[in-house]
Amino acid sequence: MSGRRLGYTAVALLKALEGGHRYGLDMMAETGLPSGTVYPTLSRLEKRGLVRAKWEKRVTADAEARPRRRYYEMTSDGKSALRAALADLQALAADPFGAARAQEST
Amino acid sequence: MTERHRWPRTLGAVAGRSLIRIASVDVPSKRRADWVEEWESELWHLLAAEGGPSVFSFCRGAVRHALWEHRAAPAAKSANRRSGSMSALVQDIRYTLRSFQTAPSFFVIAVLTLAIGIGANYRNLQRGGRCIAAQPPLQGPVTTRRAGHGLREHRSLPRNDLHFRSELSGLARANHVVRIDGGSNELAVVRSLRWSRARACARRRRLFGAVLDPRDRADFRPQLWRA
Repeated sequence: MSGRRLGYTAVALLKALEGGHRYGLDMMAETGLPSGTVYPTLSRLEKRGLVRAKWEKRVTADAEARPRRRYYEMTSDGKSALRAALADLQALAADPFGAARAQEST
Repeated sequence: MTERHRWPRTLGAVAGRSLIRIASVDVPSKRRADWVEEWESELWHLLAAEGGPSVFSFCRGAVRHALWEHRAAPAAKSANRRSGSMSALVQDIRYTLRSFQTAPSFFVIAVLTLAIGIGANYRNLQRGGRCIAAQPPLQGPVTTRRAGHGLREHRSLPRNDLHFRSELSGLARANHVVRIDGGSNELAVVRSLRWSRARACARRRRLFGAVLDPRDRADFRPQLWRA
């Protein structure tokens, strides 16, 4: 896993994935983010190994007379990155200037 | 593999798919098939569902995503670079997409300017073409007169053909006054005297339009007789 911190968009998408939303359109509806943000972010997360994409089985889609979907799921790295990012955000919400003070004191 | 699903026959579906296909030019070729399938699948589901974003705003996302893919894979891009005119075309399309993304207002202005230019040219040429294609309304012998000289019988010209028109054009260029005696005592004059070349061309075109287009002839004749 890369050491880079996750941005708000990535956190929102990972949180949506955690909530059971598995494809782009669904995540757009859940997060309210536009398609031009959701799909590039998913690609970036996939590249970083936080998310894994898998095509739906063609038989399933054909049975419902619709094109198959590309489903996303979180990897274990993604789960731990989300936990860390949420903890960071909570700490930030609790004490917005704590990190800056800690940096100054060192 | 054949598709079991059907695409709706709407403008949104056609335009959306086209935009996705065009945007896919920017995606590295290894990823392209998957990329297009995913975006088309999502577009299909968007069209099938009620509500959600508009097709245009959704497909604008495809352009952004394609640009992201393009930037994220510089190594793949250089490895897949093709040579020849197709490469230049692909580069042009990519550049267009990038400029659309970075400066949409400029893009819109450029497209509008081109559209107005093409439309105006089309309009002008359409009028010119109508004059050329129109049948000469007059028939009979053509009499010409050199400026300041006496009348001279030129010769009888066949009407309704290109030869007739080219003869008239040549006479007008040589600063002749051309009189065409119509079958029903109608007269028209093509005149091109002492004009600069550009002016003469413009005027000749107008006069030919007047001669050759019956609709304008009524307005044209008295003015010429005064001249």
